[in-house]
Amino acid sequence: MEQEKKILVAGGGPGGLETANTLARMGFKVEIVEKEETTGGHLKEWHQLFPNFRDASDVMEELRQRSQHPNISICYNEAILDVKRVNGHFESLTSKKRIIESDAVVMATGFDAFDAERKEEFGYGVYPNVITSVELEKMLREDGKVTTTDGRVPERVAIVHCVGSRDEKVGNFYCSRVCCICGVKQAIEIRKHHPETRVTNFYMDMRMSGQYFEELYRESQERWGVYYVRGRISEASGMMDGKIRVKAEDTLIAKPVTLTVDLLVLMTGIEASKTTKELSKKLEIESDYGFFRPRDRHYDDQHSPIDGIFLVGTAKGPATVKETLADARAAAQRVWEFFESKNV
Amino acid sequence: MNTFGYKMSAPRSINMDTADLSVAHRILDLEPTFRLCISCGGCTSTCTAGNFTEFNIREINLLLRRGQLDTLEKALENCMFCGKCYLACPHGVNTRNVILLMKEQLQEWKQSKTTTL
Repeated sequence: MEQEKKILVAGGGPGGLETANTLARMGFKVEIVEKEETTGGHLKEWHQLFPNFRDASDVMEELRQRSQHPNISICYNEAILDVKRVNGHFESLTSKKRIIESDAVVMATGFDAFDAERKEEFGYGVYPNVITSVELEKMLREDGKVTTTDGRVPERVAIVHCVGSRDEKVGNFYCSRVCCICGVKQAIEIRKHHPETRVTNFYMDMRMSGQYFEELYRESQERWGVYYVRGRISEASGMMDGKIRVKAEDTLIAKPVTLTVDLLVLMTGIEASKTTKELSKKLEIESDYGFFRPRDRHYDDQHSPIDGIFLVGTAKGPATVKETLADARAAAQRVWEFFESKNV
Repeated sequence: MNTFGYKMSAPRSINMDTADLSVAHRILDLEPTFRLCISCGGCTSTCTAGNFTEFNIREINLLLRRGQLDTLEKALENCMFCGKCYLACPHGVNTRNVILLMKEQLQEWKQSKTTTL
């Protein structure tokens, strides 16, 4: 069934692509505007996905293949700067000073990983062997080998949970939801590649919120021997030999603990992306922390308070890839219903 | 002398039914940020006193909220008011003021107990 309506999708990550793919199959004309050279968003930075270690590139490939649809056109290296509603349709200004006309707009502008330099006590950007989960994932993706800056396989690794999440000092009260399970996944991956390496996760609470997450947490202890210490690291200090000394409290023993590691991995949280923050503010549909605000969190979670502007995935708050894909298909359905109701 | 026999031990458990939470409530009202503690232990980790003595600043929160006031009073003696814990806290709890308030409120609580007796 061909539709004459055209939909603009801002952002070509998993959320944007899957919305576009579903809309295209419904017969809508879709234009995706992606700010980078390729689609995929943060998914293309990832090696394997929790909780089943499916290759991220496998999911990516599926998404890209489906987007090879005659109804879909993709513009790269271009970002949406503003969206205006003019006589029942939308005119969106891009960074290439183009005006894109459309009948609806889908905001799939996603998230940015928390900038770890803002948590000075962890020494990111100061000590080379303090890295983020994104950088660890890059090592895993490239050759699976996890190394320190001088190319050695680390004897000890510490993983710090909740970096930039649940943290009033950086203004993020919320839980990023996906870092707990990501920390478990990455700990297992390090142990898989380097069985001699001891991995210790420092956590405040382990929140295994998704299906099979708890099982993976269990497997990490039972099969992979990952250590867990309940306590937040208060500071990390660089040693003369490039190692990092961390201090925490083992709150379950009620004693301070120190540990010297070769590599410190920070589980950086999810923040609204720069574009998400700017657009949600400009259009006055922002929720807390710069994410977009849906019109009804239960019944209209994919529609913004503005008629015809739809919201997908992490542009609304922390979400997994799986949740984002489901959300994208729901958004496409809402777009379809929106035009149906107009026809009646 | 016969040393054989049974000995009665006082129960170790905290009785939440009879725990005196009046001091806790007063301090939580006077320093509302104290309600935000999630027991992460960042404060204890950085605490100078805690690295050399039994003092555990994270634990005093729980002692207070469980009405363990005698234990609490002794624990407080070790704090040097350096305020490092305040810097480490991810939830912005004014830990320094909490300790000060505890010291004041425990004095008042003890006085009120002696006057009523």
